[in-house]
Amino acid sequence: MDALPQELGSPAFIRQHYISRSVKLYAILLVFVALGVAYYGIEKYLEYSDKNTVVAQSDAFVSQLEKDNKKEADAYTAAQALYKDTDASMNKELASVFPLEEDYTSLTKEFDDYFFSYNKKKGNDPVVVTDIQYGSPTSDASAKYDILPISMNITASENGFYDFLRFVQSSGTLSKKLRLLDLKSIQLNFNSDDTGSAKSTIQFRANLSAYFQKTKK
Amino acid sequence: MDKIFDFISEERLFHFLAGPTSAAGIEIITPHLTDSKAPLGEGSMGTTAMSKSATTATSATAAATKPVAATATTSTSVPASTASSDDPFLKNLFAANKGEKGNDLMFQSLIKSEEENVEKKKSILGELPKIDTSLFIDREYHLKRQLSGVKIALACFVTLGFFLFLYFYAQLDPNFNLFGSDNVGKRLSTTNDQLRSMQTQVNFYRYRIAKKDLDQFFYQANEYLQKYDAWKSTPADNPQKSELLSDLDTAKTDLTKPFDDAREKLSKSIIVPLYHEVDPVANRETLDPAAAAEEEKKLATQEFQDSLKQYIDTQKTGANPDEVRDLNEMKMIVGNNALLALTSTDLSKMSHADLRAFILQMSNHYNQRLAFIFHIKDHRIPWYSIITEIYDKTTSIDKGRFKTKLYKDVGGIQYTGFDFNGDTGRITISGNVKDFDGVNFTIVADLIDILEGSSKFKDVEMRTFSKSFTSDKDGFEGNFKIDLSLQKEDDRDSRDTAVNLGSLSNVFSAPKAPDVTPDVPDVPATPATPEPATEPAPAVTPSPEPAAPTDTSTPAPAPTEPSTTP
Repeated sequence: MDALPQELGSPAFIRQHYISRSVKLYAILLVFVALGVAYYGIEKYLEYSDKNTVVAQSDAFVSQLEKDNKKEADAYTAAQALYKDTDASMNKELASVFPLEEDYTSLTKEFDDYFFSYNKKKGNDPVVVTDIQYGSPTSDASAKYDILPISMNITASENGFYDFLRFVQSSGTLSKKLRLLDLKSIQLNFNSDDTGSAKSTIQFRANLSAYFQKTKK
Repeated sequence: MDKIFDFISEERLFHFLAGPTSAAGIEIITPHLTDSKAPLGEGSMGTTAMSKSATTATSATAAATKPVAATATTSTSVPASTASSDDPFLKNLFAANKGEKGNDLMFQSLIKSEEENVEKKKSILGELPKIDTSLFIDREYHLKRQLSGVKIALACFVTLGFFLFLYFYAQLDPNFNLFGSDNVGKRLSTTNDQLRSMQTQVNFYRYRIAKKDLDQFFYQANEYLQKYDAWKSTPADNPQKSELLSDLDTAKTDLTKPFDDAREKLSKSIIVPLYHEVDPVANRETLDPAAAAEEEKKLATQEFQDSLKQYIDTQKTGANPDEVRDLNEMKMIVGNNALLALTSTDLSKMSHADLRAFILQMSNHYNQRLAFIFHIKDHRIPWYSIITEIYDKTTSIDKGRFKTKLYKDVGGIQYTGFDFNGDTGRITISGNVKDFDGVNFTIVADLIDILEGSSKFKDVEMRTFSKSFTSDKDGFEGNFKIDLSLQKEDDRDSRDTAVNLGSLSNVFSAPKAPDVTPDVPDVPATPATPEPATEPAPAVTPSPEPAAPTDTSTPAPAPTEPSTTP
């Protein structure tokens, strides 16, 4: 009949109180842990399941891609064979028209060839180039290709002048293998003594641009 | 006396309290002191002594309600022989203490009545609760059991979580390889790499083929453009025109095939479906499906470009410049949306003029050598056409005198120099004008007006007029210097319409063929013969080069010779 010591404040009561509180805390912790474990387990299981499915599907896809790969490789080989000749001629023509380097020596020879050919045909109507100056190459504004500036002093008849204009204008034609040129500016002076004649002399200074492929630095 | 009564009273009280149990003593004394009819009033003790005794007893009673009051029971025991023999109550009481039961009934009655009184004076809160101590023992036991159970459950869940973590780590992490066999994560990673690599390979071949097709397209287009210019510059009444058109149709067919092949390759998706831990498209939820797909395509394109860049870097060491150039040009197609959009065009339904404009448009978006050539040629100024236009206009206002070799005799306009600047589009024309009537200014003003009226020129300007008179033989002579600008077709102003422009092609349009006889200057130009119905006007005004002269010895179309002498 030792009743009073068991009342509030007694060690037994305090112990029970702490035990009871521990039970509650552990129960709450248990709930959170259980929820966490369940969430983690479900998430990972879904991921696992998804990955398994994807792997199974990908195997079929890989085999399909292998077929495609082989097919495209064969098609590429066929295209190479088909365009082999045209590629070769295109590259050859492009090397003349739009070379890899500034190659001003070849261009000078081209000019000489042209004027020689013209003068040979029109012996009484010669075109005389007194000087050619090549500037330093510059890059185009679009940075896609490089430009070689050229300046020429020419004395020619009016017909010779027009023919030179057409020569420049027709440059860059692959079939003719003429270096791509552009006439940027012309200053021409007519001989006042005989202007109006088809054989009148024109002195002109032509500033041209010759183009070549962008040099990869 | 008071002290004596006090002593007696205290002595009686001590005797009274020296009962069999201290607790009983307390219980006994309380009704005795509170009862006014008690035998205490019967003896020789005075009222004062009784009151004092009662007061003391009341204190004891009050103290008895507390546990400490029990100490009163331990007070020193006083021998019963010292009590006064005159007090019958005490006699009876002590007799009882000596084991005599004579007055038990009364005593019990007193106790009973006292208990009843106490019962009546109970607290309104009722009795103190009685505690079953057995409950305390059971509760703690159960609580401990519960705690143990919860702890075990928690441990189980933690262990389960740990094993789940281990299991899924072993299954899903591609780096886990403790047991030698590939887990799902590893297999997925391998499969992803395999898919990515194979799709890159497929894309690589497709784009290489597409590039070859596009190269062929531009190569064929080069031929096509030459044929187009030849056909375009041939007069409609020329019997060769239909033959040229047939050639042009054939050339169109030739370039359509590689273009269609390129379109077929480029239209295929470069994206491979991969499993991503994290969605590469950020904020996919906020994007509409089309935007998300576009973003996905952009990422795939970037990835493909990166892989190509890496591949090209490895090829650079191989010192095959053609291969590296081709690869670089191919890389420029990847992600080139403008070019890819153009490749969806159906060329077979295009007119020749539209196809020509389309080729030039394509060349602006294709980073390839041929495309660069087209681009450069497209922007060249046809100087021959410009000079011809100036001569034509001059002839039309200086009829019978211009370019007749008779300047000294008949006067007219004589050009002394031209300054053409293609970069600025400015032209400066300088010359002399001679007239025997002295209307030199009118002649120059007419020249300004007619040049301004041309669709090829604008901003024609000369604000200072001068002339001099030397003699009747030489007439009036002055010089002029006219500045003007080249004009594109879409820059036409109201002054252009004031002059008949029918025969004037635009400065950026195809010039006349070199072997075509120029227009007669003193006859108003007539509109060009319409093209065949199958060839509508080009949608975009290009600036092609003239048809290449077949023979450089062909005389230039000399600006107009007079048909009649003045």
